[in-house]
Amino acid sequence: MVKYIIKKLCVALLTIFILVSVVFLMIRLLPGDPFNDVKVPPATQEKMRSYYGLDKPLHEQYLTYMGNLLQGNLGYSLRTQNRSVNEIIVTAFPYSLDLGIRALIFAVVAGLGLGILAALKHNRFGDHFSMAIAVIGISVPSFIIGSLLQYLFAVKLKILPVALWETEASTILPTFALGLGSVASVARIMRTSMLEISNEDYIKTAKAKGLSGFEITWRHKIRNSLLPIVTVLGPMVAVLLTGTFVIENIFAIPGLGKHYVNSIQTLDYPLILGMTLVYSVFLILMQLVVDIVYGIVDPRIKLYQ
Amino acid sequence: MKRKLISMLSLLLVLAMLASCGATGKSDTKETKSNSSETKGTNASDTGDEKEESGTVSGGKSTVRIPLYAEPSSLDPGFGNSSDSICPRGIMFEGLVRIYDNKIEPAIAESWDISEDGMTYTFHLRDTKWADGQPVTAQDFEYGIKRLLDPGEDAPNGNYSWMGYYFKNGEEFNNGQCTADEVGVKAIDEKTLEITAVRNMPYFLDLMKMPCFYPVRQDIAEQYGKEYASSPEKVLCNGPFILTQWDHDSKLVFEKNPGYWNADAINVNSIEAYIISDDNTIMDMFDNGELDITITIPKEQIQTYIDNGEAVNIVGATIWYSAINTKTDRGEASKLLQNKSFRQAFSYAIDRDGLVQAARGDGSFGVTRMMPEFMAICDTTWAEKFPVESQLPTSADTDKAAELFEQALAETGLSKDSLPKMTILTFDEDAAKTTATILQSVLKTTFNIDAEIDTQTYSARQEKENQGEYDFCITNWAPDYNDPMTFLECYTTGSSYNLYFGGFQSEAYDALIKEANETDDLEKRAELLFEAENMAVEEMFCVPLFQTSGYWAKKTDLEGVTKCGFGANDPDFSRVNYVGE
Repeated sequence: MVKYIIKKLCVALLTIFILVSVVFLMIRLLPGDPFNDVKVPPATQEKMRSYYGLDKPLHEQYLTYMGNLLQGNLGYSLRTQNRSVNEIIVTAFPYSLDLGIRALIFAVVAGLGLGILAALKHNRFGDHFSMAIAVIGISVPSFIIGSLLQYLFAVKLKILPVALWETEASTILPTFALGLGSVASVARIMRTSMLEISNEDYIKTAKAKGLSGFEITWRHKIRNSLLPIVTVLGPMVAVLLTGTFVIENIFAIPGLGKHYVNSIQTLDYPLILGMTLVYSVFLILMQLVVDIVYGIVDPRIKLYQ
Repeated sequence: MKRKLISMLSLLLVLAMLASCGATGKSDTKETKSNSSETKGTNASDTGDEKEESGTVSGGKSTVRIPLYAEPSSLDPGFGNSSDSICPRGIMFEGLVRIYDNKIEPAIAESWDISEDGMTYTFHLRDTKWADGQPVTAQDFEYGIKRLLDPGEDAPNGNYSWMGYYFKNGEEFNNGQCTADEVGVKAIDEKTLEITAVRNMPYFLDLMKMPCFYPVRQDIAEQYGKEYASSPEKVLCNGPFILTQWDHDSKLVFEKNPGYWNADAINVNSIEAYIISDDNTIMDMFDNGELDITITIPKEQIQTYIDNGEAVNIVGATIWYSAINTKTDRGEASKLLQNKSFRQAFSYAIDRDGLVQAARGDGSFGVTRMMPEFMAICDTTWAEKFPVESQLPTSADTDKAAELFEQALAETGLSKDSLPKMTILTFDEDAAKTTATILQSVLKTTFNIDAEIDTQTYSARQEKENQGEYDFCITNWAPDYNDPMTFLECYTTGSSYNLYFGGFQSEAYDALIKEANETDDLEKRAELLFEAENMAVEEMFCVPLFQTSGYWAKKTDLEGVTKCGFGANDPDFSRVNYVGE
């Protein structure tokens, strides 16, 4: 088990190294220049470039960056004065994490609930109800859900604030808007998985043994249906927790999401790399956690084999 | 048993809602509280319980809440001038003059004398205090400007240091060719500041509004070096408000500065600026009473806000053009592009009124001159000084266009059947893309020229434009200061913006601008500039399309907040007042 994890971590390090290298080169292919401002004379632009070391040959810049990266230093943002990429990430991440965890809890609990309800009430009202929510959640983009929620609960009913991340009340709408899509996928996977299992022989055996419906569902169906959920949960955690541009933008939440998009638009090279790094590390870690959780949920899967 | 399961499931769902909402009950009561206080107009919102009780000013709100599109890139006056940081710096600092309602007004400088040759300005400062209670002195202004220009390691070395090149020896000092003492900025005594310009510039006072010329106190700036103004503890303010809180990417809080000379004109205790980049969110929050002003009004909603009295019109000074590349070798296309008759034909073919309605629809209007009519010249406006009776029409004149086009074909020897394909360079923004599409169809329908549209990001478009990789380019220009020179100087051969505006090369034009820059006679200068504008319109290397205009919204009980059509259109809060109950 430990050996397996170490092996996985080594592969992860290699992946991240390659990823950062490729992104480092790719962002330099983006058209434009971070200091290309028509109002600033070319001589001053040159000064800015040399201040940030962008006038040096590319391989030299690459080695400097990698050297700093090894020491955990992600460099300075080109757009803001005095703000390091590390500081930007450390400031923004808690907001994304907070929103993400709320959305995740909502997604898992409500998704499982709806999925189980749908499976138990197969082809009846409960099923149709759950799947209607699932279809809405999957097909309506989150920015529409977000805007509709704002309009309904804030502008019309005036029971919740429109945006910002200040009071507990202000967290409700973004959590709902961000989590709904995940609720839908969890619900659908849970439903399919439970329906499949209902036809398994061991369920029939359990029935024949005279176990109660509750016990069959609780001990056999739900536990065995969870595996596919665990599979989607890894990437879902990474997506929800590292911030989403759309929801954070609509609700004016100071999370990581906007830095992904803005850094690319403003060609803030160190910030683009920093954001890529955060996201990839998170994604790879979550995959690892999923692998380990597999072993716990289904003892037949042995990691060290 | 099934029933038990279902009740468990419903419990799960309820739990899910609770878990995601957190302490719903608690926050609900808090919201109702702040909502009720908002309807009474006594408090902006739930800014913290302690403030809600004590901060209320009688006869006004204690807090004004405003939106900002983006995190300020820096609050250090010596660093940058980027548009997202102009508004917060205008709240926390004050310079020698201020632009209020589009007019230059005395600010920290109470009055000034201008020498006869127009080169030396002597500013007399009024009694006003820094946030720590010490008086603002002429030395603080001198230090601020020299710090801006300082090429040394510890100085900010920002991208707007070149602004100081307007001062005598500013450029030399910035390039390390002379010492700070030789720069034409001197504190004669505590209350007198003498500034020498590089030449006679009628727009010099207008420049003094720039954030990069705000005062900086030497002891504080030297204490924090490059980190000056990076947080509320590391800055000293002299403006109407003091920065007290800066949560990056989230919000900035400013408290009233009691030592500000005009503090009596302000009945607001604090300003909270929230970073919100989505316009729809801003509008919703404004409607909900969570914000007191907006940045703009989306065009579909303008009428609604005009009807309820919350819309404020702002005539901008930015002009949009279609630059025509007359300089770079573009193959066959250059034959037409370098032909004056073709360029004029193109200008006549454009229905500017229709174009601006489709591209903007927010009150922006078609123009045929090179700059806004209200640019200042000799104590009046450009349009009053030099009215142009035979202006080009803002609607299309296709007959004239066809006639000129025939002439162009005859001059270039091109035939109608084998016209070169052209490229319209534009950038990734709705108005710019629509403009390009319309010009594409103008070229096709009027001249039967096929054009393809090259859409780039804003920055990539600038790069391609500066390298001349375009036949036509959708571009715009916002004036730096209120004088025709900010437009006309760009078209000279030596200007770094030359290719940005079509790459016009004319010794006669350069001579006009040079003479205008050198003469001491302001009347003559105006005549020269008018001649230059006429030459630009005649040559049509850069086709003016429309001037921006628009609306922003403010609550009706908020007064004293204005926006200036020049520069970044940022609101001025130096006289903010609540007149609500």
